[in-house]
Amino acid sequence: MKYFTPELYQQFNSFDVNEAERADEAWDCAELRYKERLAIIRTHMPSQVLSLSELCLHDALVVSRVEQELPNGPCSHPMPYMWSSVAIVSVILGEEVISLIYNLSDHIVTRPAPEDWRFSKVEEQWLYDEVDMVNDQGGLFIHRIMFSTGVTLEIPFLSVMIHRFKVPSAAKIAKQSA
Amino acid sequence: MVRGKIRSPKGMKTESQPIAPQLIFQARLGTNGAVIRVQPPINQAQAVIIRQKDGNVVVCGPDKKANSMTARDIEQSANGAWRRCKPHINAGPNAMPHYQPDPRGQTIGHTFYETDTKHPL
Repeated sequence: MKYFTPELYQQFNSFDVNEAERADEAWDCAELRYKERLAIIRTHMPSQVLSLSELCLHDALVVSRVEQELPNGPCSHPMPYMWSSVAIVSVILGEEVISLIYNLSDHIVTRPAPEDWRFSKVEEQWLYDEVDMVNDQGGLFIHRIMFSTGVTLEIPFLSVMIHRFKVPSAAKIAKQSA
Repeated sequence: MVRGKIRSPKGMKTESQPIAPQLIFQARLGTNGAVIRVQPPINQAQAVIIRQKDGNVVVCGPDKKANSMTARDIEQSANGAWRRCKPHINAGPNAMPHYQPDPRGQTIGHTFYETDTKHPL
């Protein structure tokens, strides 16, 4: 994470009220810097990346995250043999399952929680995320995500698809199968 | 009679403006992250009971730090372990900072608190 770091989040949650208040102000500054960055890169974003940057998955339960390298094989011209990999992060938010399907430009970098991370690791929930461009020319993007476990992901990607569907209730399934 | 501004002598305390008291309300959620106060105000013990039933409450007042501390105490009493969250930047212009249980589990309630820039409706 570049703006909303796990360390800053920890400080914001400090039992020391003064430290927590300082972190509160630092968080506001980070938010401002991130919004300024988004305003600069927004015009270079394809619509799906723009949608990703406008998504709010705060508190969503992370149910699956996988990276799958596709077998190397002949592709169409002009890159007959290119590395290709896909990542899928699926979350449940309310009654919806939302899957983010990334066409990766490189492997995902997973960073463990800081050693003194004091929050529960029982379940993984989405806390904060940042969408950025690798350079200012466009084309390569990066999605950084911080989870409630303190783990962070850096997902370098070329394109992304946001797939969502409603989970049918157990009662509805029972009614249909009756 | 001399007319003009009345100045208090140096070293003497001037009469200060009355400070608005801190108030706690049950809350419901509106659009764009809005937090809507439910009248009348409640006390801290009532707020804890509402939070134990997974409802929403909001602590209001002019002192952000004091509001945050009261919200933290309510969450601590209601749910034990807590975490404090700033609104996600896409949560909506009216979203407010809050405390919630840690881990979240299947719960959905919050203890919100008022700040200089984030106010309930």
